[in-house]
Amino acid sequence: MKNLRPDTVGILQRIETLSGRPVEFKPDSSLTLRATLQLARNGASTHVLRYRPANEPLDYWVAYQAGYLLRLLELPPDERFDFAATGAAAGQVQELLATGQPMTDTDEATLPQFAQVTAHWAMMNLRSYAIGMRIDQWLANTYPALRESQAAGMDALQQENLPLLSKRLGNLSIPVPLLGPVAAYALFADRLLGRSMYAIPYRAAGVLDLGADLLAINYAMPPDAKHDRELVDAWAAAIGMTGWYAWTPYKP
Amino acid sequence: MATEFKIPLHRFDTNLLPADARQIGTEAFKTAVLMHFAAEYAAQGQTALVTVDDQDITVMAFPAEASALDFVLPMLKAGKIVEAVPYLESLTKSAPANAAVLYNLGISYSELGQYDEAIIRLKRAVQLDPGHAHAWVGIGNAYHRMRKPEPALEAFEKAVEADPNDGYTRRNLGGMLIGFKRIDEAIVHLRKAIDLLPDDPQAIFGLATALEQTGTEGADEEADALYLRFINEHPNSPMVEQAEKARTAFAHKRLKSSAVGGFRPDVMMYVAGALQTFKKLGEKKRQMIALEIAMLGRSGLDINDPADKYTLKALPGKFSGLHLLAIMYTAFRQIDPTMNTGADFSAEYQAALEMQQK
Repeated sequence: MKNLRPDTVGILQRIETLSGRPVEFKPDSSLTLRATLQLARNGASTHVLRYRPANEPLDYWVAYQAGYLLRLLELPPDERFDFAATGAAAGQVQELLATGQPMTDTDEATLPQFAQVTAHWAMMNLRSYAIGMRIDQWLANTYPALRESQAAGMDALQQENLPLLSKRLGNLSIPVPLLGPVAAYALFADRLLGRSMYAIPYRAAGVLDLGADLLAINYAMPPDAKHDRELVDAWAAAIGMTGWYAWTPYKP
Repeated sequence: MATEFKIPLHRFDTNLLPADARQIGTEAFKTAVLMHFAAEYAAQGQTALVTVDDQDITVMAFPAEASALDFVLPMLKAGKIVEAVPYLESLTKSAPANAAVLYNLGISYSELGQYDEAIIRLKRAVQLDPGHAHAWVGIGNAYHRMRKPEPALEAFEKAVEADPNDGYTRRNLGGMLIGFKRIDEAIVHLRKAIDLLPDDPQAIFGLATALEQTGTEGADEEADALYLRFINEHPNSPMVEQAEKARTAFAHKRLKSSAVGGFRPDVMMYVAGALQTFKKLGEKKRQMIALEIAMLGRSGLDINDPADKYTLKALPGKFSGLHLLAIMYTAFRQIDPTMNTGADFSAEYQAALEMQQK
């Protein structure tokens, strides 16, 4: 991959060293996320990093995604786990949605689908932001040359998250507790980047206290990868997502 | 970069607001929400634009006041005034001493016909910036639309005082002075307006109107030339008809003044001929002829050229412009004597009738 900064290239080389497999880059304009990194599993010869073309700051997206893989690779093999849904989440979300919200017949009809999508989104955020903050902190501490790229990337993520506050289908909207990880990440971004404006919308939406609690949990735990699962579990307990997922042993 | 987000009303944490402003849907609630975000973002050196509707609170935050106004101005230019007003209102909360914001809000209210609201904002703008000529003009226009000519005139005078080299303020004051019959002063301002805005149609038309009212020969000539220029340069303006009528009146005036005692024997002969023709052809045909001349007259009859250059479908022969006008006058006198054809051939008409009776 051309045009990546030496620091980013160095992170990728470390992945190759630890895993014994190279990272392959694939532009993908259909991606809904900025970038994803698919581990080389089931005999695959490369890890595949998909990214949206014309996606600045690419260094940050690549380094951030690489951070997840590095944290996994740095763990002893018997401590590597996959995050998998148990199938309980959608029903739990449906209950949350149905409680205290006036619903029309249309809302009733769309409730299962909305709950399914919301549950999937919530679990993805739970893991991504809990561990993602640690990756951000690691990037900020270790790679000052990437700071500008990181600030731009984190700002872009904050902007992308804001529509979640008003996302709805009929009268159905994302339950406030499930916005906790996003609020925590806004508060975290403010602190890391020396600002205090990312938290404003979440304070107004009444979710910042939960975000602050989640952030406190993060800061209370050692930052190494060994505690990533513990952190995710603690966040899940604070939000009410315990039992929505399970950790299954990682199979290369 | 601007930050933009919505929060559904039911999701907003009302504990952030004063206790007496927590009732969703009230004005107190809306104002408190505006103030909340204005204060939150002001602490970050940003300006917040906030609107509150029946469902959502919409917030846009900008790094500085100027960029926030830059966001609203394109809305105004696109005619989205109703949409822009809540944002401007929001801006006045976060930037209460910004004359540009108050000016744009005042003009927006004026455009929406809310003149009292407009005047409050515009007066605040000129309090902050007495040299804001356009705000004075805005006040003048609002009063003018409220049919309050005295305060309107006063505001327009303040506008010119604030910026004597602004063509629009001169033009507005000139127009207002015409209404007050202060024609000489109006002409001074309208001439200056044309110096500053040589192609401005309203300045051209306004000066022509003012000159027309002085009634002197020189002023009439200048006014006629200005009306002609207006018609040529702005053929689609709704004021063209009025300009054409004014030009016709000038032509008649010249016509009369060029004749001894104001009486035109040639017109009397045309009228006499028309009386005979109508007697022979009957009322229906007379009406068709009159209508055809009237239609022809809409694009202008040159009554100063004696050449027979016009033809009619309803009547054989070739006619000069004056001849046709006399025929039309005769027809209308017979159909409806109270109708104004723009020409006064009453003396010639009377003489023609008397001549026929002999």
